[in-house]
Amino acid sequence: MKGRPTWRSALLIVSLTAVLGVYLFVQAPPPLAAAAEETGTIPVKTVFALLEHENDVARQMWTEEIVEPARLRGLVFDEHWREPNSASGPLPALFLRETASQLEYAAPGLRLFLGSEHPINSANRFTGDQSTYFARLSPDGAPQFFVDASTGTQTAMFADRAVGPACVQCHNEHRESPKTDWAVGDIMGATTWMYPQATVSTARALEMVEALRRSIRGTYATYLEKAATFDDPPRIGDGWPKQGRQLPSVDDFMRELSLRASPKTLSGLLQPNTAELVAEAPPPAPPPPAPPVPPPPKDDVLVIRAKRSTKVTVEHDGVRLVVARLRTGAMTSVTSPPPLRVQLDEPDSVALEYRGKPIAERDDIEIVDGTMP
Amino acid sequence: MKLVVRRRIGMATGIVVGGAIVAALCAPGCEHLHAPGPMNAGHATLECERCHREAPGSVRQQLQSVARTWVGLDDHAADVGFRSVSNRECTSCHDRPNDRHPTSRFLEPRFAEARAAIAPERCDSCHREHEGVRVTIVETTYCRHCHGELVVKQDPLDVPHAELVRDARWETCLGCHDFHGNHAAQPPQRLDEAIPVARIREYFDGGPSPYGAPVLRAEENTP
Repeated sequence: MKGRPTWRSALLIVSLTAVLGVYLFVQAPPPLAAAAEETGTIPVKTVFALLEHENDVARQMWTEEIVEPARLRGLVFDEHWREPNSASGPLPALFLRETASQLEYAAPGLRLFLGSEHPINSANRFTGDQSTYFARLSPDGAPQFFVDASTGTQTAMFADRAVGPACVQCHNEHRESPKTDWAVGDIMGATTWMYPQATVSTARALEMVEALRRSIRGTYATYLEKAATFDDPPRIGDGWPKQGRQLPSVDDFMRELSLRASPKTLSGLLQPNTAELVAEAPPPAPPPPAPPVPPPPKDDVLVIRAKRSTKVTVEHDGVRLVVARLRTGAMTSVTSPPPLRVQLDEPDSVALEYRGKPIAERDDIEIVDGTMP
Repeated sequence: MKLVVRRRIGMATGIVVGGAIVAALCAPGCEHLHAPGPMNAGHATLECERCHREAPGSVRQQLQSVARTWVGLDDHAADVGFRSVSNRECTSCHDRPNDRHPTSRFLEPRFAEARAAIAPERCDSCHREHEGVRVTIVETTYCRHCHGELVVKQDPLDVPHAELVRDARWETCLGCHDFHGNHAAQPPQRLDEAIPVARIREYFDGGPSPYGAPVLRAEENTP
């Protein structure tokens, strides 16, 4: 072997390098779509504002058009709705969480979270930058935009208000709640939106809105699938719970959402600067604290704790308020004035408290043993 | 025989033998010969393609992306051959609607310290494949990264959670709580009824579940 390359070796190396350069660069195919970042011109905080608007509409519909009237028709909404034996639906916060979970797959890169300074689960309390920006948001609900230092991701936080009595009642009555004086209209926490890029194209912005709607649709469809398995399932069709024990179909629910949300979303896409202004505008005045129909007194709470797995039905004036199967150790509650009728499929399977005391000798609460019809 | 001829015969032999070895390794049914290690618990019958899927683009485009990254024209090099295995492959079978700790939740800014410590936003941080076990994370005290300020107002446990947190008894968490909440057993209300760490280790290593039967089993979803 000679000590240095011959002119033939040098020519070979130069030729191979030239061919490789032509192969990889000069006659190169278009770059991979994934590698080509489509940046666009719409600031992502504008898109965050539009997504939050869509989310607000869905949340308000879920709370005011489904949960609150459906409860009066005997349907149950609680934190155990995903348990296999639970005959219930998601509370508004859990509806959002389920939507966020589905969004992870519907729109890669786009993330949605819900948190608070006073969460029922202490692991959901804001810390770090989120706590700092939530403090800035709290006085007037003004959205906050920043870049997450740990990931370099574009981030927005929007006020999450108590849109109806269902939010307030659950958080004030939950035994793990660290704050029990919430009122309708209060800022209870904040949604956090994240996306990697600072600007996006119009097409991408539209995809993100569409992905959110697909996630909302998926969440509502999941609830309807569960509702169809209840012992006394509601009718699913074109009616809403305000009119009876019924739920709108997925298409009807999404059609209504589209009617309410689309004008502002479309306007924001066509005029991104306007949408951004909307996002930074002062929040609307909170709704009046007194609802048209006052909720039952806070004291009228019936707490049911299962000593062992059992089915339980609670009725008030012939209207079913709870139909559920409770697992051993599970607990549920219902707020209603007396008289109440509690039907169990096993005697002594639950411990009952009404207005904070055992119901040993109350004649306005009837306990009935026997299998539910 | 001349040196040049012998050298050429040697090179040709090397190419033929090397090619034969590569062909044998890539032949159907021989995947185990080049797998990095045994499949994890429950994955023994999985085909390689369930997780190792073709990367997008042609080979030329993939090589082009790598070259562009080398010379500083791109930020990220594309995958060559097969795309990187991500949570997407795991959740195509293991997506559970009631997961107590879905990976996506850890992408929130407030979990930055936990991400730096144990990367809980990735399935393979705890379930690294080709190790022949179920759970690969070494520590059983990882709850400490997020639950240091735990508050339980109406504590059902005989030893208060506040006391366990104060005394940093993080090894007790998994004795009552299944991390993903995918099993039927209810948490006990007495600490001395908690599952011993040794049984949890056994479960991590591929043994039977100490948390009861799974509520939902992995689904054979579309790839």
